[in-house]
Amino acid sequence: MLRDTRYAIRLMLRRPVFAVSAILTLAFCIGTTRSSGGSNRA
Amino acid sequence: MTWAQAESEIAAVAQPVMDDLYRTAPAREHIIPLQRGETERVRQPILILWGAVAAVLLIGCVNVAGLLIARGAERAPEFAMRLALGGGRAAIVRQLLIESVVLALCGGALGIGIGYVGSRAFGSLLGDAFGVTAQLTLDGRILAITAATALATSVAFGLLPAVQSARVNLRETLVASGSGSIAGAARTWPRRAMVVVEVAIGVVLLVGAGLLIRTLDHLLRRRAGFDGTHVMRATLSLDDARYRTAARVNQLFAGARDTVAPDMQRAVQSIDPMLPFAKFRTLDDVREEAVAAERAQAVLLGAFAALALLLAAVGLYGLVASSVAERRRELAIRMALGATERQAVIAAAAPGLVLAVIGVSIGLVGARAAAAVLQHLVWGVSVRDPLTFAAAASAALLVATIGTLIPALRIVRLNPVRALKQP
Repeated sequence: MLRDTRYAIRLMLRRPVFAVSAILTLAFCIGTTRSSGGSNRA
Repeated sequence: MTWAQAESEIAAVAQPVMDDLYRTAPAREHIIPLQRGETERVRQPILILWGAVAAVLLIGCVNVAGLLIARGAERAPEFAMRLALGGGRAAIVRQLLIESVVLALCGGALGIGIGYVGSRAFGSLLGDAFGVTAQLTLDGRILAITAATALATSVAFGLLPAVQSARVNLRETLVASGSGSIAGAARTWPRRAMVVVEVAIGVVLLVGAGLLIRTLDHLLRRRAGFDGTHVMRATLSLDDARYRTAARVNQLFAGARDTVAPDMQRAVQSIDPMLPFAKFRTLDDVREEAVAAERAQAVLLGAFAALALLLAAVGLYGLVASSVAERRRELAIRMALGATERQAVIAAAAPGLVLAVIGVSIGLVGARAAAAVLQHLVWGVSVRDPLTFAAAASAALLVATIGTLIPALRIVRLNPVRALKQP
């Protein structure tokens, strides 16, 4: 498991364009989920 | 006491009173939880907004899944080699799932930051839309929900690409690796289907946002029957023993009627300095406040629709870009055999455009069904408003065309001789 994780991180660093686009896409989507999720806390 | 017992006990007490009060229109009492009663007004807008958020998250995940599928296709020789050396498919699926979990954790961590900034920036908008007065803070619950969302999405959307990548044909892949083979349609159909879904969801959100914007426009343009420009409004508290009679109230207003603001306040105070004088606003301000919720809802849904459309365009861009990269050899052969640059660009862009048109068509049908949900939030415009539907379709097609053409135009720079010489 740890070896797989290390390999995954190494691969991500080797393909920065892929990693950055995937992470940014997820970050924006999860970010919008979070910012409007807060609206339920009235 | 159970809910049913409470209901029947209250009915026994309240029903005779209700029957007496509403003789012409029979009414029935109904008990609901306090929390539900307090949030009844904002329940539907919040659910719709959550629907939009879920749609944006879905589009984002579909995009990442598309990226993972394309990456899996690129790495087919690596997986084939692992299988040839005796590695199991389960190990490959596990490896790819761990990769998507790592991606999702990074995305989730950054997403918390973006969400924090977003909730600061849109805090007042959320306040207007739903009457939220509580301070929005980052707490354990939010972190847990975000982590759970990130993990769930990574597993749900990493699984299909992982399984698809592990289903590699050993002999074919090892023989073909490095020979620049022409991409088969069968391998790309899940990505194509995903892009169609993305565009369709984008159109549904766009139609929803369009209807809310048209509602706001209708409310702002609606003539009140008077010119509110120079009309002031103020609230006076006449909850006082001295103003029990109409004559006293008339006397008060007669004194204040002929003077205008800011003299109005002075006029009232000159008559009674003890009287609280508050909420001094123009009628235009009052009107703005009345449509604040509609405005905030339209802005929020509009922002989500724009984000969804942008993500859908990015998805199309990714699909066409990887298809152009895969078909480099085929397109070079076409150009070597006499196809013009224009023909080659059309050949590369056409599949993307066809997908966009299919997505928009499905989206329009979906929007027609989904618009019924907005029935109670839309005023002065039909939920089937053809203008809104046409505008949403045109906007989606325009954005999709741009997303498709940018990578397709790369062919103009393609050197057929060099492309054919490359392995």
